[in-house]
Amino acid sequence: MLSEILTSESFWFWTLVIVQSGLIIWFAETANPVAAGVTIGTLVVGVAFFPTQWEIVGLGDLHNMSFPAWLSQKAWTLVAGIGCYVFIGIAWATFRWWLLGRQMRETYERSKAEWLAPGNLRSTATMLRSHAEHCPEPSLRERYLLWSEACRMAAAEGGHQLTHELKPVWKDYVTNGSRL
Amino acid sequence: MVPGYDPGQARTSLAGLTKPDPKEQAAQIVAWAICWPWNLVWTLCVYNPFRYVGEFLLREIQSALFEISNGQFRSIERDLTLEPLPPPYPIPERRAHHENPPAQTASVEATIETPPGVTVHVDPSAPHVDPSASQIETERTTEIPAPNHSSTIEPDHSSMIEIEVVAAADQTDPISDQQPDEPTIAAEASNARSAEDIPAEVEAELAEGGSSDSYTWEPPEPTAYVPLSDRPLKATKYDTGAILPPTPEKQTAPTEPAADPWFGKQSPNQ
Repeated sequence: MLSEILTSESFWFWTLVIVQSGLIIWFAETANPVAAGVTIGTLVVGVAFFPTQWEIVGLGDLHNMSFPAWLSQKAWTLVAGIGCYVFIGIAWATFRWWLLGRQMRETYERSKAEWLAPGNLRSTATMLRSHAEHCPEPSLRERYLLWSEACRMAAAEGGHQLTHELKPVWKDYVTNGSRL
Repeated sequence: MVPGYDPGQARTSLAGLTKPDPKEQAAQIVAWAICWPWNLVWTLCVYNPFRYVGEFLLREIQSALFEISNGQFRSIERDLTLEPLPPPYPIPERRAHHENPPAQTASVEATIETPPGVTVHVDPSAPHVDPSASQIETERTTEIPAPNHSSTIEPDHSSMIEIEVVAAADQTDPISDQQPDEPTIAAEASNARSAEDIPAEVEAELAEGGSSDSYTWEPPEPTAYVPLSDRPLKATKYDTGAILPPTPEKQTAPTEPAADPWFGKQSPNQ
């Protein structure tokens, strides 16, 4: 049975489609449009090696005529299809761009809410005071102490509020992450 | 790689967050456009954008429904809302000495100057008068007193009665800065203040014998009551010699004048 599966044209066709799709998704996620385009091209060309699957993808007419005759007959249909593909691609890219901004803002808001929690502010104050104790530079030590006091005061007031004193600490956290 | 993020950080990390720039992320956008069928499937499976779309649609629908209910209940809420109404006319500020009148228990020093032949009785035991502060001085006055703050009776210039009331030491006036040990000076300062408050045109009008306008009217300075006699008022029956008719045995109803039209209009319930 395994030999039948491995020798069937349908199995390799769908294997090709799945692998190529994985590659396309990968290239799209890693912002590599050239590789993604080449992969799409190889997928289209690879379909030509599976005549039994042409009916599935809508190329059944190729069994009755040559490829140039089919191309001349379906020229406008191909042009319209490519145009629709590009148009939908542009619309999708715009929506995906909006979605990216939305994701970034949501991540920012969630991280800010977590950072402004009273418990996190207290631990940040403790960490900043520890940094200040081990910091040899006086100006940096003074800044850490000031930030530590700001975090402690904000935690005492209940947190959840990005005060004017907390903004430089928050900006440094956003810029450098936990590497304060 | 997600634009705007540090490639070394995870997608959900905040580190390296920068505002996405379409120029810098052109490759990403082109890749999305080229591979849109695959990227659409991947996005739907991983990021579930329908969540954001659903939240957006739900928020819009809620907003529209709230607008509908607000429009329907606008008049009802206006009827049921109790708000303090503004006064129909502006209320003027009350003067300080109106709100805090001086104490009526203040002792006064009265100087009454009478011409010869005029007798003035001052009752030291009368209320509002401090017996120790009451003085009566009888002497001839040769100068004309000031028109305000001194009550002057002038039958003619030859005979003059002047009653001058001076605040005593324990009198408290909230608007004057008088000291308790300088009552006369404080009273004079109050006179000067009252004279300064009068505008120039009103002062000229008063000099001509006219009266000031109503808007410049100020209530008089409170003065203590100085009774001239402690004899109580009582009714006196005088015999005029007139003969009154005898009272009838029966009370007869008064006759209605026929010509009076008001008596002819009796209401039904009377």
